[in-house]
Amino acid sequence: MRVIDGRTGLDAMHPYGLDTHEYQVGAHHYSAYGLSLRSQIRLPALATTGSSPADLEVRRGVVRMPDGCEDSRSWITPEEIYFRVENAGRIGVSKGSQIVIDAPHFDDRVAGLFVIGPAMGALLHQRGLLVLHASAVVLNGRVIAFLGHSGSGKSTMAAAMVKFGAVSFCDDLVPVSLLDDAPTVSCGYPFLKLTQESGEILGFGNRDWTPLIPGDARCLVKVAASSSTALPLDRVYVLGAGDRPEIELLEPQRAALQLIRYSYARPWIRNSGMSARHLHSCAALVPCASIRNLIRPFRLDLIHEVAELVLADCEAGGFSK
Amino acid sequence: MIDENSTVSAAPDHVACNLLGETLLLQTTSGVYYGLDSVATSVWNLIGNNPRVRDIRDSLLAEYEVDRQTCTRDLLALLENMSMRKLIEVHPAPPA
Repeated sequence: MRVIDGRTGLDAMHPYGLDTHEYQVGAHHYSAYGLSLRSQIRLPALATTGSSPADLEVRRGVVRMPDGCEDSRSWITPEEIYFRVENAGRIGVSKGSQIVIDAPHFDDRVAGLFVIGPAMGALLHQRGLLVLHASAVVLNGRVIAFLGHSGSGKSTMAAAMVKFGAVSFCDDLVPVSLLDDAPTVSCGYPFLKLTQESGEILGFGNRDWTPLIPGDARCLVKVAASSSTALPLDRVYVLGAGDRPEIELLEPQRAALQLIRYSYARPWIRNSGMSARHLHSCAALVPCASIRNLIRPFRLDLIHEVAELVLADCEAGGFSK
Repeated sequence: MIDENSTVSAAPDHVACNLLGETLLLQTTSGVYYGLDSVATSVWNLIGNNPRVRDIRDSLLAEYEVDRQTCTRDLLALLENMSMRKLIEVHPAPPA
């Protein structure tokens, strides 16, 4: 590997450039996904903890893309993922243990949202987890995940399940551990990203509906926290649109392809040398979890009906595959 | 052109993964995923030995209830398809 340039503080172990000269020990401590975080900036949504040895550190710093890649949207090596956010900054995630935010124009609130979202997704991927683009709830001690791209209604579906007695477990990213062939999911944080409209229909009543960031109408809505840090993954519903609510079983190959399609790390996997591991992870999950299409009209007035359909499907399935 | 005497081998740019008796293939250079059913999986597993097409056919005839003509036709069609997608390389039969 090449050392790109000799600017002050360049750590030779990170030839593509995570400067360390701005390093300060972070003052904020959190836990999420079974990991303890130490952060230089305040982070939203995550549970705070006392000072303790940290599994990962979050700080502001300088992130440089390698020569010739300054304009790339992202850059990946087996140990490092760098990507641009909103054309206004860069985030570097390395070795599953370090997140560096290079976005002087973002205040801590906005930067923190990128940390708990894409940076965390990249970091969990680096730690060997299969990270799904999904939201998840717990029902009868088992995890049910709703898979879909941004804007497909994952959080709204999770919120509807909460109204029917489920407990929220993860929002937007669901890290699956596949050790011992029994998939488990680690708990994220007790918040759901909802628009005011869906929040009010689902009964998350009077609150401040100030949007998280300009241009995104969603707010972080606090929900009851799970008392468990990790639980078995029982089933996965792939969110799709159709005329009426229905659930379809997926054949193994189609199920695996849906997991691949909705992998959080998918944009970073190709040409990263990690595609073999990723393919095997997706294939390994298929025999262990029930994976189904959840087709429904994209209408909030039918969300309760859809949630009832899911509950009935879970009961019929007896919570085993 | 592929025939019974051609030899076939897997293209190097792939990752294969067993899935409940079937196979998922990722062609790494194109980023395209392919699913192989159980019969195509049998063929794919045999291709690992760089066989002649007739050797694959004989193995299939022993494994499945199918007549020789149908088997040859379907096998050639599958291999043509795989070759077109650059999943396998076809080597012509050496001159007799």
